[in-house]
Amino acid sequence: MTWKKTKIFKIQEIWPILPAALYLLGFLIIVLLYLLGLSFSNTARGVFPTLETYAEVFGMPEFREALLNTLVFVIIGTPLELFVGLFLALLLYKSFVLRNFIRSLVLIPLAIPALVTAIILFILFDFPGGHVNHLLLGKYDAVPQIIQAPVNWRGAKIFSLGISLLGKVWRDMPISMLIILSGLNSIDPELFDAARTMGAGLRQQLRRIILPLIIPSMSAVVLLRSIEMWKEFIFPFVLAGQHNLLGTLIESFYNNWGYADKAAVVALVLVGCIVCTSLLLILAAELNKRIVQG
Amino acid sequence: MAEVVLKNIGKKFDDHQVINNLNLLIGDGEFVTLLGPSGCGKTTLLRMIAGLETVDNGDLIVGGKRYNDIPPRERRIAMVFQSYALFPHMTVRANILFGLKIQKVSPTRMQEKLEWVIAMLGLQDLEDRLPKEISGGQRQRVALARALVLDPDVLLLDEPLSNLDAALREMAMEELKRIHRQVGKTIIYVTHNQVEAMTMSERIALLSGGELEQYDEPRYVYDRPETMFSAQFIGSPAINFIDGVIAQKENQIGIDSRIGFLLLDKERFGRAGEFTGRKVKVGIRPQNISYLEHRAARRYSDTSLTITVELIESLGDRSLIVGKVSDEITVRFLITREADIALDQEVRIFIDGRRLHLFDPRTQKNIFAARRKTSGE
Repeated sequence: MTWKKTKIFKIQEIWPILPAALYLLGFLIIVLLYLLGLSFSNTARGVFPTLETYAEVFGMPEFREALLNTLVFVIIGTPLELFVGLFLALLLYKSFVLRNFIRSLVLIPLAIPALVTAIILFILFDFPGGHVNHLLLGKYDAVPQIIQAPVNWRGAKIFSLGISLLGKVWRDMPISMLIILSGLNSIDPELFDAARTMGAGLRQQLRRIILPLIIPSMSAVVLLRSIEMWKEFIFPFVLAGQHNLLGTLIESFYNNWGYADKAAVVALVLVGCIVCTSLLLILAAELNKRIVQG
Repeated sequence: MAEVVLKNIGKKFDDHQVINNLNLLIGDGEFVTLLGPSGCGKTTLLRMIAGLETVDNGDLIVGGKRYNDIPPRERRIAMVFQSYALFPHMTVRANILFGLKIQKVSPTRMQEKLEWVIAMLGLQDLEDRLPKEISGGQRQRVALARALVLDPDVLLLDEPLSNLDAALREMAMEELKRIHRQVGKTIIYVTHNQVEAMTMSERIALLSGGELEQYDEPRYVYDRPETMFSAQFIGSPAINFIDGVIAQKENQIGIDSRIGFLLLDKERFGRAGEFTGRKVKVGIRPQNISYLEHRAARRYSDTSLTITVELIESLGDRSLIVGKVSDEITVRFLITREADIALDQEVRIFIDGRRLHLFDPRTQKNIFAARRKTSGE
């Protein structure tokens, strides 16, 4: 008699998590397993399992370039997002005048779809007739002529990736800002009063109180933003067609060249990179906590 | 060492006058309490002295120096906050040394100071703990240590004991008094708790609505309330107020009131005859009404009264009785626990004619308490 009761009880326990479990199975586990299978096969020759595709992809200059580009994106973009977010959050935290107005202003990038932002940048940096070229050529009266000939922004590697990164940072800064602002708002304001009566100026308050106390928010920003940087797709896809990141390389392997197996390898490399970065950052945060608390 | 002078101090938040034309002189090394209900401006006043709020009008003078425009870091003032405001990411040691580090004091001097303050406040073995790892009472002591270590001229305390339980609070009060004796600093203490004010301070500045009601030694604030607010705020249970008119009856001066003719003591109220016919509010503290059995010999100036017991409220060692004099008027008084009184019982009580407080109903000022010279002028 008792076993029946426990069985019913267990089914009731499983019910609420069933939809989430099915979702994970369908969209994550099955996809990942399929991807793994694909990466270990060579679709052109119909061989499975094999490491041929891995070897082939790792040997391709396109892959190496994309990996390097993505790494640069992560290494420059993540701190950039952190500092922009920190700066805006501090600005918003300290200013009392027009606070709500400024806050809504800062949130605007979130309200515009990333694709639209990318296309706006595409138009601005068009060659040879984009607004930025016109501006620098002195076609608008307000600005004197700075360059002699129009620049092919989206063709040059450094510019095209730079513009993509800029667009990405601009678009994502409200998220970083909000995370850090919530960290700032959780600080007891009497701490600043206390610091002032003990002689601390603004700089010392920032260094000795604010920064140490928002380390958790800052680690959250770094973690979330670095994942975003690794997997970035839209901005480089629209703005840097000739210079791939890992994200856009998957698309071009699959769509342009029809290499499903190679696309799978790149996707898995990307997943691996993200997992490794996250683990490293979590480990660093944990170590930091241990060290701070002795 | 410094004397704190507030001259015509005023403070406005938007259109709301928080502090209004306040004058106060706090002597060097004195322990003064700013007492008042919430919203009376006492914390604002403290924050103004600390430099955390600007002074809108008047002069704030500390140690002979005008402090109005001096930033907090240059004021020789330290403050303990209600929440203690300990830095949660710093150890007890780092918290205590925060101010000295900012002043770039040498490490050996810092160590000396640390040892001195830790010994004085009994914080041994806690130096390496974080604030969240110590008890509420210990946190309060760390906050005090953090202020004292700066060797300020004036120490400001903003309700530092309000987060402690009763037993701990009593201990902390004794300790604060001991520390005051030991370091001899000027201490300005803010509280809404009259027991804390009465127990610890040398003088109480009673505030209400941003104005000074009374500034005096605790016993005088209790014995000679200058205003009706003062009489009502100080003393527990709360004072009884009864309307009446000063009158003479059968060669005796008293008050013709709705509970009968209340006799006035001739020595204490010698001048009362001059005020015959004047309307007054009579304040009678529950402690000055006695129950027949308590005292064998009655004074000639005692007024006796019959009341019906409406409510008995136990206060532990004593009981508070609410007695009905007529349908609308009740008086509150205290009896010892042993006294045998039951509800609805008729009881004779005696009102001490020496301890009545007479107020002008219009100005709300005490008619007979000569204002003692205490404020800054």
